[in-house]
Amino acid sequence: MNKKARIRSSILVLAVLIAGALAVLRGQLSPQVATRSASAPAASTKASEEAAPTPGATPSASAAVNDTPNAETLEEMIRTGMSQLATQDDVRKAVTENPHGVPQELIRSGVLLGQIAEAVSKNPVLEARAVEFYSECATSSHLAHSIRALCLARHGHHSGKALSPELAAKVPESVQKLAGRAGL
Amino acid sequence: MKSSSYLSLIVLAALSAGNQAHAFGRAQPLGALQAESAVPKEQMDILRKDFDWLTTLKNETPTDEFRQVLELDDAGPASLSNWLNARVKYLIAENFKPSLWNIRPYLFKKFEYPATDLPDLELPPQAKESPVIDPNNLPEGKPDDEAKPQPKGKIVMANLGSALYLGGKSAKFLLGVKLRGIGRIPVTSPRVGIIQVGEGLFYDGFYGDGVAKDSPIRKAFRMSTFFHEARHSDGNAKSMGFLHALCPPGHDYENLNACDRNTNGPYTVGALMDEHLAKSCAGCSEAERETIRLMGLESRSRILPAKDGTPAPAWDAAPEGHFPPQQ
Repeated sequence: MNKKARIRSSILVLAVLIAGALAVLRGQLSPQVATRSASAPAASTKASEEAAPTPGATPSASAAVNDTPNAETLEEMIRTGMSQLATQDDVRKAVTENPHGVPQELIRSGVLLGQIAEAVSKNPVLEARAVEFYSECATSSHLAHSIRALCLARHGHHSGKALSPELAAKVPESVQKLAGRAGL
Repeated sequence: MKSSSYLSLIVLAALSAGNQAHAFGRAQPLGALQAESAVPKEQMDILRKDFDWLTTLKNETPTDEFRQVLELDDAGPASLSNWLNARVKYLIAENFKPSLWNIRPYLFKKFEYPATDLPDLELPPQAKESPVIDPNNLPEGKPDDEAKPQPKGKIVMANLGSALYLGGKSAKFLLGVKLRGIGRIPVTSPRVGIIQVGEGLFYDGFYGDGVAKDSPIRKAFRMSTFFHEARHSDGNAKSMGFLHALCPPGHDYENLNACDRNTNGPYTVGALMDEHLAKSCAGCSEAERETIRLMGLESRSRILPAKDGTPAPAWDAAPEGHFPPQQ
């Protein structure tokens, strides 16, 4: 009898322990399950945002667009270019400080002009608008001579025409001569 | 116990020897060139990569002008580095300041300068610096390591060998220059080839955000500047050092000593290098080529006609003085 009672109480204790353990486990696991299921839609939303850039996208997103530049990206480059290309005053100030160095404003201008040149080389449809820009740049008397010369060389390269008398009248001879050395 | 004490002593001795070597410094090799111990290691690493980059260029046939001015049959890496090695032997750090500390005449060494004219100096009216180092007017100075650093980007590169030779020739005594980790070098010719390398050559602020640290734009800028400076080691008599001229009225750099009055001087050499690099750069994007082209045009814009308006002449590039033969 004693033996039977001992077995029964052991089974009871074991049952209580198992029930308790199950309760604890359920309590711990359920929040995780809930979180995981709730996060799934959030992750898929983020993925879809990355796949389709929206207007006003971040610079890195627009850099991806630059792989196939369109008229809009070229317009943006031209706007930036015309406002930031180095002026005669910029380069003169830099060379006064350091006569031997290439002015940093000129290197930065090279990067801006380089982006435009690359955009046109990747998408020749943009050529006509680029020719307009190069004409404006070549005739801008406040810009550094070397920048005007590169723009004039680009103008000739993309328009496929000899320098017109109207354009020649607006560009100093020294700039015209320099343009001939651009090596395009 | 005893052996561990000996071991500690050996380690200490080795450490102090290492420190001592650093304090006195050792020359740093850069191909056939030697750099002062004071040239920062980061700058040396960048220059090594630049020279490696020259070996990756496409095999483009150089223009006739390139071959004529640089007197090279091709523009392969071996030819380019030989050209440079003939004109540059030592690199010195930005904190080197000419003074009685590091520049002294050889009082008992007989040396005769050629009895030829000195080059014309064209300096702006309020010039603060001269391309000639006057040995009779040197500051007393301090050890170079104590010199204050220049503002960021101020010094790009300068050919000190040429300035010292011209100073010695003017004063009629031979000058010696003490280079850290290398020793005293007698400046018997501009071809002794001493070039100062400054922070400006490596200055990030030059480029803005759009140009990566390993961009070919930076490499081209450094290499064409190097070739420009190397040209100052050439010339004799009036052409000695290929000194720059004042830019004329109407020029972007009007009244600055930042132009050349010849067709084979430093600005032509720099432009030719930029033009060649824009063509032969293997991994360059169109944007990078365009930037290098613009640097070349900027150098071209500094090449003037002669004073009477006729086309500029080519100057005699044969070097003056006595110098070790090219290896």
